[in-house]
Amino acid sequence: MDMSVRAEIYDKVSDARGKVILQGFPDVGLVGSITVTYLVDQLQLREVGYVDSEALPPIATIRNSEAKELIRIYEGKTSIVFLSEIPIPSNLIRPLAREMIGWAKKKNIGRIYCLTGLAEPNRLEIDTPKIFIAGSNSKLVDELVDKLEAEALEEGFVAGINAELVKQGSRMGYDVGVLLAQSHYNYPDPGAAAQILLKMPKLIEEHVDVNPLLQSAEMVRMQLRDLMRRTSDTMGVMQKSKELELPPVYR
Amino acid sequence: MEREADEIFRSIKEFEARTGCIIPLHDLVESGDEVILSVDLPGVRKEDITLEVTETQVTLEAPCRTPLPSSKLGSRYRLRIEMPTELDTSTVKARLQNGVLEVRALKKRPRGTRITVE
Repeated sequence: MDMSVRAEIYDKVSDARGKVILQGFPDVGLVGSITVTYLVDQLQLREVGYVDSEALPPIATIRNSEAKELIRIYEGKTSIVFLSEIPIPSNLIRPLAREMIGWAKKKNIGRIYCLTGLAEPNRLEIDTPKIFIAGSNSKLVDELVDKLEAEALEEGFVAGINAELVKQGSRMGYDVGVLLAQSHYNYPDPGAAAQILLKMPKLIEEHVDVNPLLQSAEMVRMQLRDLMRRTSDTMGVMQKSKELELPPVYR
Repeated sequence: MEREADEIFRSIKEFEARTGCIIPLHDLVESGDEVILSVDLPGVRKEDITLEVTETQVTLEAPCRTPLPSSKLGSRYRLRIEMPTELDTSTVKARLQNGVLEVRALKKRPRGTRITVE
């Protein structure tokens, strides 16, 4: 690992006590990306900051002729949302996870929820994807399983930024929950994102109408094709396919 | 690694710009005796898909009915993909579900003679 890589958060957030972070970086089925982008749009969240790092490529997103940061932070009544326009480079994953947890503690944010997909080889046969929960501690997992009427991810692997956040949360005694919706691995999956969005009233006390997302699902899949292709390449580097395996039996 | 991926990405975009066709996301898996190709085709009706399978290659073309977000994109999907092994074309099955096309075919059995060991 390149120890010189740093992640820095620049923000206008003074105190976010009582709020939670929703992280939806590009990953399996782009489930997290679709979820948080839709939330930002539907709840009209305010852009309040960004992440910078020398590990990020020299790219600016242009929206309505205006340059935007690649990894942005938005704030709502009950949540702080992290989203990224590009897959997180593998050498940025550790420093970013550390920085996010340190930042969350400093801002008095209660927890981090990672929203993502769980690659399901039989996704074509599934009409309503299930939500699975993993977390930095069993008490949090039990609470989320109850609250969201979801299933615990009993055995398996989590890879990428979600893995780093959950591991560092566990080491630092900070609550990090991972919500995984059964999804396609390599294809954008708005249907899986919709299942996570349906949990928002219980997760962040905000109702989100998922019908516009489902109605525009074809367009969303078309528009996210390039990001999915880039993300698939990055997932290969971080052994994301490990999530399809079961861990060995020893404990 | 990143440079290679970027090069592949650039060639895809160049093909799309040159032909006005979209190369769809796809995945090819060998599973036992079978080869499974899945292709993400949002906005496509099954009756509009032209699919041809030979022993060594799968080609497909289909118009996309979804209004596209940018004129930079084409309005047809086109994919030609070499198979990792020869296919028994008499076993090909294809279905379109929720905009994902799945093509399954058995691998061609190698011709040979069973030899009794003396």
